[in-house]
Amino acid sequence: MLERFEACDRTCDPPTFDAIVEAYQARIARYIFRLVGDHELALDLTQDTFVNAYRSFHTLRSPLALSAWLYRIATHLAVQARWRGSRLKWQALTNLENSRSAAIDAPDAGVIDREMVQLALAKLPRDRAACLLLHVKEGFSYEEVATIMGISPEAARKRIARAKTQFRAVYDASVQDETLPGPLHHAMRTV
Amino acid sequence: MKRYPDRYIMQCAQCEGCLSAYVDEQLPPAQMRRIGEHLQSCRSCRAALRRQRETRDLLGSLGDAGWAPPDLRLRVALALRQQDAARRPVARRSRLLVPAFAAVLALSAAISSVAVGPISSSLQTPAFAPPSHARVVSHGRTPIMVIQL
Repeated sequence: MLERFEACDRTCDPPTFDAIVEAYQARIARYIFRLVGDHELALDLTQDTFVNAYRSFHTLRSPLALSAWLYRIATHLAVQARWRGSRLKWQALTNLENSRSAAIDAPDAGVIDREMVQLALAKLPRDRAACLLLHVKEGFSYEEVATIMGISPEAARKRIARAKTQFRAVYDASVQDETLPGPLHHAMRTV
Repeated sequence: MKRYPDRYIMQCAQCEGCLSAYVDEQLPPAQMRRIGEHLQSCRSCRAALRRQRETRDLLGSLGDAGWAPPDLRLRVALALRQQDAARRPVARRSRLLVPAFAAVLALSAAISSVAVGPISSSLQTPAFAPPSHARVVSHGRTPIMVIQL
């Protein structure tokens, strides 16, 4: 399905763009949510991503780079949004991925683990977290991450390595920290 | 990335620096092979490799389920229309401004003429001849143009 969009002509008319939104909205929204940690903000930024993409579609040099191009717009917006506010509201991940039917009184261990991972990820600088997510979760190679972030492949490699180290340190500290907010509680964190 | 000669024996520091990319399989084949050889003979680097794999597994546990925002296509379409609408009044204003300004100028010119104002003698030159519906009369020594509306 995606090949059809990536093979579309540079002069993309609204119906074709509509199909692009349909194809990418879930991935982009999930990616932005993981970066900003706020449901409403992620929704707004996802909308802004596609609005900006529509406006600047003529700047897309190669249709093959459609996916990376969308992620580049999304990453830029998410990183900027991160710095715009001094505080971000954290929402439980259970509102999203596959967890809507999870019992509130007895969340399973997998849900707790995912939320601890997400909380640790949220404490990383946004550009590092973006590199990490782009590679580990979105499946881009180091070179593609470099293109999306506008850095060299070597810089991308170093940034991903540092992000992993930092993520693991934060995660390990969080596991041992008894004051860590519960997975079903909302916590405020200072940027 | 730094390239090493084929017979280079990798040290732990260099190996650890590449383990993240090794786990991600993002290194050139020759370097992957050298790191693999080093790992076979180095217990501490194998421990570091296990930690790297654990970290990757942790990140992988986030899940791949997509989250489709409700009515996103509609929201995008509305946002685009709102942006267009926000731009349009400015364009319409500028389009309307030119004829409106010209009309005001013409009206003020007509009023000033009807108000029986003195005109210079240059008006009587062919280039500035009075229009057909106007006539020039004399009031004493001062020529006056009167426009019949």
